[in-house]
Amino acid sequence: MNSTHPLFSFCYFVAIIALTMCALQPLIGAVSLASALIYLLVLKGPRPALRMLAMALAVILIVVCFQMLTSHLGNTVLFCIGSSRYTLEALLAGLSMAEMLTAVIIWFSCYQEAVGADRFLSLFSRFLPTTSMMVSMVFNYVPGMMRRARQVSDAYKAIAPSLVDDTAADRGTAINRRSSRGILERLRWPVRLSSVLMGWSMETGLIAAASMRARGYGTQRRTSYLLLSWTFRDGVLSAVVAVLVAAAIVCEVQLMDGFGFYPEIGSFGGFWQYLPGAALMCFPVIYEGGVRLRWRLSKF
Amino acid sequence: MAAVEILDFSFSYPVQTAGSGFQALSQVRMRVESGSFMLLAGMTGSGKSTLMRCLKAELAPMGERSGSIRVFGQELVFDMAVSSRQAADIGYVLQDPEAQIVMDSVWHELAFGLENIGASQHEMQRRIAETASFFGINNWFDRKTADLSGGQKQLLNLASIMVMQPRLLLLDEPTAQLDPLATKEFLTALHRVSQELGVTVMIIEHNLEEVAPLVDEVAFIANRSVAFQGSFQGFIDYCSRCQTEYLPALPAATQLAHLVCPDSRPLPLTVRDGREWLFRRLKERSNLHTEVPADKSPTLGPIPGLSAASASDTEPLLKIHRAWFAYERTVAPVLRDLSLQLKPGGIYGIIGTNGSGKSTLLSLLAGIRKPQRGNVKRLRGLISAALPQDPKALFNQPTLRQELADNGNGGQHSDDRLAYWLERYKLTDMQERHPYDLSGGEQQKAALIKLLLRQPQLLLLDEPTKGLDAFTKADLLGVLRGLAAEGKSIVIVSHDLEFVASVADDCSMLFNGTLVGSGDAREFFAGNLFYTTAIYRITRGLLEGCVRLQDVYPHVS
Repeated sequence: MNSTHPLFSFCYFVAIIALTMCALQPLIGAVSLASALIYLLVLKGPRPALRMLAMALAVILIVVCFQMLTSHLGNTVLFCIGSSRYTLEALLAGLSMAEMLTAVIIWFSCYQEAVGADRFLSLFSRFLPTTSMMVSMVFNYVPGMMRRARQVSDAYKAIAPSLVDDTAADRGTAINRRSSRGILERLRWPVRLSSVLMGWSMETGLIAAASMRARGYGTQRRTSYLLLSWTFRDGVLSAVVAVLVAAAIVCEVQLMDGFGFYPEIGSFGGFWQYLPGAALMCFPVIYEGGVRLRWRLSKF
Repeated sequence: MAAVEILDFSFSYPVQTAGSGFQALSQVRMRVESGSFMLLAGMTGSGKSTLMRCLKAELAPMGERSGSIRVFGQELVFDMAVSSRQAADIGYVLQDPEAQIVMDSVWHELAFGLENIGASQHEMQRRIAETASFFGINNWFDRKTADLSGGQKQLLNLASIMVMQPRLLLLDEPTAQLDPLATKEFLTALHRVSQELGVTVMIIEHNLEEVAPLVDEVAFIANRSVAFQGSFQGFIDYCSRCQTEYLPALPAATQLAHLVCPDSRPLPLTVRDGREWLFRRLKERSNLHTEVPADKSPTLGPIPGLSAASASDTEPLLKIHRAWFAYERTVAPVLRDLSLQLKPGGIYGIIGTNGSGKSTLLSLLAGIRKPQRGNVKRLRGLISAALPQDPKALFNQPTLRQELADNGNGGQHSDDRLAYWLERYKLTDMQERHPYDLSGGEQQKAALIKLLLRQPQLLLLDEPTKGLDAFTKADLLGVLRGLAAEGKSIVIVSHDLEFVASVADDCSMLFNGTLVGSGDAREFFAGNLFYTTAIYRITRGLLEGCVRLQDVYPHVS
């Protein structure tokens, strides 16, 4: 997905996330969650994937417990505590919700890694050159601003530590001192920091403006430089994905039509109805695997 | 063919700005040949920056203009809606490497100018490819601009001007914010632009040590007009006759030669030529007078007031014991097993290349950061104050006076103490100005006053000479020596070897996370071969123990 055209990658992720969000059903959710995790593993390696898995399990546990405690609908009683019934239906509803939630989160982080903001924005540079330029400027501005903020806070820590750090002022003094520090006094540092930063940023802004004008900004309509172009391969991939998406939508509509949680779990449908969706969601992993395999083979 | 022809050009600032309207340039006449590399020199505030900005119509200051400026035979158009042709033809590189960068990625920054002038995609790809290859940017072409080093940023600024294929390149102190290594790299690239592409270059630069060998022509701006124009040798002549206050800005070899034998011509510019010149001079002299050979001159004596005995019985102000520091657990530590004892009194210089951890060490001394292993012991009741690399990190008031009066804790410093420091550092006339309207050196001094009003025993200075010219450095040197004489302890971390050599009593080098070679500053610099002052590199083996220019006096008188 990171070697394809961003338009293709972007549309793919939109489709995947939409399909996941529209299907509140435990099996579709499980398929989506599993493929998202595998793709994350491929993209970022085992450590972040494991961390995500732990996060997903924790979310699932919490949401399932919450759902079972609050919803007592459904006919299949698993167990009773006192007069409360805890049902399989509530458990599965909670599971579906948690799966959907975590799958979407993980798909987004895959998107961040595979497409990212700048590749996404490069899509628009042709149609909205000024807007995409401004967004790029903001992306450049933020790290510089953060660095300046660190410099300011270091500079003040070295001459007036009590101003920067509340705890430094309170350290070694009576606890009631803390409560006596009024809101105004507490706000002094943020106010100071932002005022120093404001002045400094305006100064750098002037230089940036000079540098833009020096390079002919505003003399005529801007054109745009694109690193990416739509290739034949992107066309083929789009066609495959489009077919899969269409099939997945048809199957998902059918699946969801016969499905409901309450009062009893509906039909899960046939095994083949999950195939298009699964194929679609595993598509990047399969594609990536193919690329790697070909690379391996080409070395011999 | 003339690249630039200036005929009777005058310029005055309007009355509103800077308090009063004043004439910055009057009747300037100048001609710059196409393809030449010209240095625009002058004292601080002589109007050289104004002149350079007037050559770049898009950046020309507001004010009254008269006379004419022709660039490549075409009259300059001073219109806000300037043609893109003129914008591309005249390139302008500013001082601040970071603030000039507009886009978030390297490739987009390179494309920015071409996008502005409406180049086609095909044209852009080709030009960017060749420019990136010329400047060796291809290795970091896909990086984010925020992750680049200062040197890379300035190189990118030059490249993203060069991609527009200018015929005249204007640079206003492009290396002032760079470390020595990045300065050399930048000037090498600039020299290639001039030599290999024949682009006409005009540069304002304080770092004559590096620039002098590259220069074809010098124009000296004084009294609002061009006082001198000619070759660098002619310029040295002119300086020794009419502009002796500019001499400290000249390369070390030139200064040394001028000191030893002012009438000799030509004077050397580089260390190599300086050594050769000095060798010949000494040989002639020993032939004539059969003098004692130079290498038998007395060796270094101890520096008064800093004998080892007196230092050892006082308690150290600050003690770092086997400190380790890393910014992140997974990243290699910046400081490893570093120990340091700071005795009261005197100036202590810590030198090292960029990224050696100098600023980190300073932040440990200042108490901004704590080591993960080892400890920092401060003398009870020690007040220290640290001067940040960029004084702008401290300023937040509309006038200098309010800025300094504000003590950071909601209170005010007393007026008479404020007046004393303002007077002492000659800032009294500036006190109603905005701190940002001060020059670099004045900002530095203003920040220093802000620290001194807290009455610290220990002053910590991070790269205090960054962006300062030779005269301002000399001024700062006097300021620091004065404070040291009053009993303040000062620690300077810097990559400016010349400055540390002339100001510090003791010196260490920070390398690979620890301090090496700690000792008396003169002995330190006289013990190094590469990492030492230009004067020492010129005189090594010829005149004994000369680290600074003033060390040479006894040998010549």
